[in-house]
Amino acid sequence: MNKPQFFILALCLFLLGSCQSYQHFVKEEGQYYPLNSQEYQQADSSMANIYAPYKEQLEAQMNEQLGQLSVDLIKEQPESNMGNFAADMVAIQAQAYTGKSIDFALLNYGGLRLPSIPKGPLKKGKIYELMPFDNMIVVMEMKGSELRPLFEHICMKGGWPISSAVRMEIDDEFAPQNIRLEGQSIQADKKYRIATIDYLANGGDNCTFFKGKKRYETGKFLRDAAIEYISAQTAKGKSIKARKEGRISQKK
Amino acid sequence: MNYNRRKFLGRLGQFGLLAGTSLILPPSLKAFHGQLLAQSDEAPELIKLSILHTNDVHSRIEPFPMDGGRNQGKAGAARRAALINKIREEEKHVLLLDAGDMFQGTPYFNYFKGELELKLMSAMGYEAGTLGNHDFDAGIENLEKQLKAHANFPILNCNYNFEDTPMQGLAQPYTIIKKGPLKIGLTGVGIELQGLVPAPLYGQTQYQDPQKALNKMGRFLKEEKKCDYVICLSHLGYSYKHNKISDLVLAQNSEAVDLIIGGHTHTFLEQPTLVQNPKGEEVLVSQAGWAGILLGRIDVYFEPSKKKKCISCQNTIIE
Repeated sequence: MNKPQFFILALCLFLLGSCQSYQHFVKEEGQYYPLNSQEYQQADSSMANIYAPYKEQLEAQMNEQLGQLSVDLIKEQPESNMGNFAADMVAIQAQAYTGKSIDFALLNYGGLRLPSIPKGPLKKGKIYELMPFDNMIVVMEMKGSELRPLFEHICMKGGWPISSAVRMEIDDEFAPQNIRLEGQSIQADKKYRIATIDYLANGGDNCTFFKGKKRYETGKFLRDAAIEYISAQTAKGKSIKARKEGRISQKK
Repeated sequence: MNYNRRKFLGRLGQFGLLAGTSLILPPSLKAFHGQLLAQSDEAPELIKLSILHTNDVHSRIEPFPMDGGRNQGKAGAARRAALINKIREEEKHVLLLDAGDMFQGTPYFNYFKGELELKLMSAMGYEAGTLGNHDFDAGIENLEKQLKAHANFPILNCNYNFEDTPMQGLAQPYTIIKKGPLKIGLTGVGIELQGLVPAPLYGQTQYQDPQKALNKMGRFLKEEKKCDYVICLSHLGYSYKHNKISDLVLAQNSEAVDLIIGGHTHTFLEQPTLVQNPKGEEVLVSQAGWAGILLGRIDVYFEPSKKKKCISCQNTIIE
């Protein structure tokens, strides 16, 4: 073998060594930059230029007045006028979106994120603050005989927002008493339609009773439903009001 | 937050091979062999690829408001863009990627349906992204409309069947990006949408086993497309307590994938996680929190000598 041949052989061995597997690279290093204002003060103004007009438009939108609130809405348990407003709105909008009659609507207490809203002009931004989560309204179908755990759960949680069809009492053992739907006791064989949010329908906040039940989607966010509802009321010349009326009460 | 690994087949491996061959080589070659080693000792210049990545930015256009919240003042597109620009000035080969859930989380999405998120990503020079569950939140028709109008980068997914949906032909199963002499294969995998996203929003999109889809795609990119490095953008989630497909499981059972850039679980890692696949090869899994609070960076060093020649060389030896 002369020298050039050796050179080719050696070169080939060298290359073979590097091509035995697909692991062509020799080293990797990883790190994460924490993009906080202290360490990364520099901002690219061209980005701010892109979003400035959107920001302006958004702020204008958030300041849009949807309607007039004629009472202070207060969040409290076991019943509150804020909860009553929200649950009634869900029952009405769910019926409109699905075209199906709704027996009652249920929301979770924690899903309403403002302690109160003062009476006066009601701006869109307030509804975003009240309902920031992207929960969608769904309708669940359950037999009367399956409803007991739902009402037990509401009692265990200290009372949740529920629509006007419902009256119930919470006894000293945190159990439901005297449950009435439109003044009637629950019929075991009857099918009931309950409007709620997908978060609860998916078992959120320990709502295991919704599992496996027939479900209708509306594809509508709770927040958007509230905005549509308030706007529709305003269009009819009505202000927004809600009151406590003994939907859920402590048994004496 | 620094991490460093050396692949088994580093330069040391080649020295070993050459040392072995030297035993059967005639003395006249030993001098040359020594010369080659000496040359190698000078450390041939490595090709560096800097991969920058985000996930679950969730419409966080501006920094978190100064409202006393734990993330106040963090994140923001303008700050991220400035850092990306700086790194681009410092490095020759930079790749900018996102692992999904670009949408949802601030009123910017509720109002503009993803338009602004995609405009900013395009302006920042993102080179590929994938779909998260929340990217369907304004419906698949909206997703298609916004991507077509405002994204200048490909959306990668190999495990959703978009037949009979507006996304058909818009999402790509893979792309190949060349950086200098490097050929980078990229693909993406998405999470099961049923139960997570209301059915009307994702329409006829059919979820398929991400593991099978990725393994097939990885082999295709490495064996047929001869990619030097394969990256999977994943929106499966970093890991779960129960038996559910995640990035760690995906990596453990993967073939021909070098790096998984993940999302969905909003996981903050101290450093990327190294996982062994069934062949004993190492796969790196990374995720950068969420909201653009972090920018992830992975630097990969390649040896310049490793060019396509290996197959013809093997033939020479066999002869």
